Amino acid sequence: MAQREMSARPYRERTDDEKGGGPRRRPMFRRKVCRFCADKTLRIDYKDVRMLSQFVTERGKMTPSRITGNCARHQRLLTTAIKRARSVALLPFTTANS
Amino acid sequence: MKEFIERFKKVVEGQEGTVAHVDEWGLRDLAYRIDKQGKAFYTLLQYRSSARAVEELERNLRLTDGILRYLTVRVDEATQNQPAAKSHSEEHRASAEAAAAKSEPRT
Repeated sequence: MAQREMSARPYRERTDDEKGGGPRRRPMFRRKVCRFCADKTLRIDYKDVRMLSQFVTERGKMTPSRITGNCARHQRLLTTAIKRARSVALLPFTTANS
Repeated sequence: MKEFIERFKKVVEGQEGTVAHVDEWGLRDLAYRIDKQGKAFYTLLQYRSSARAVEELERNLRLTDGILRYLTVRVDEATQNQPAAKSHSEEHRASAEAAAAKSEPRT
């Protein structure tokens, strides 16, 4: 979010932190579509460890919707599903030393 | 394991609930250790019942040794493809060697 605000600034206002960054280029933008909206048959279920583990990092953290492209609604459902799965040891809270 | 399931089924039925599904997942690795156990038996119990039955069942699960975890979840009738089930709960139990989980629904 914050990174996009920079492009609103006029050209001449380049600041130090941009130095060496090369010409300002808008990163290629591929619109991510929420997987659950795209495929209505996909269900978010706390028992489906295979599916849920696609939305957590190797360390067990949930991936932000910014990365996965999930819509707010499905991200929310996913969050509760992951938390449920964690509470019954289907998913780890952390992989620190377990 | 079997006795456990029968026992909790009876609890639900004793409260005028109906057990729609019993799904035994068997011995599974836990994502983290619980009470020094690395594996547990999971069981999913799907039932439809009143709120009282859920309370009663959860109370029983809590009191039973060997149950590591349980989880009761309300199942939305609309999202449920089988019209029967309403909510589930999961409980895990460790019978001496390991743990078990179950789940079940209610009204």
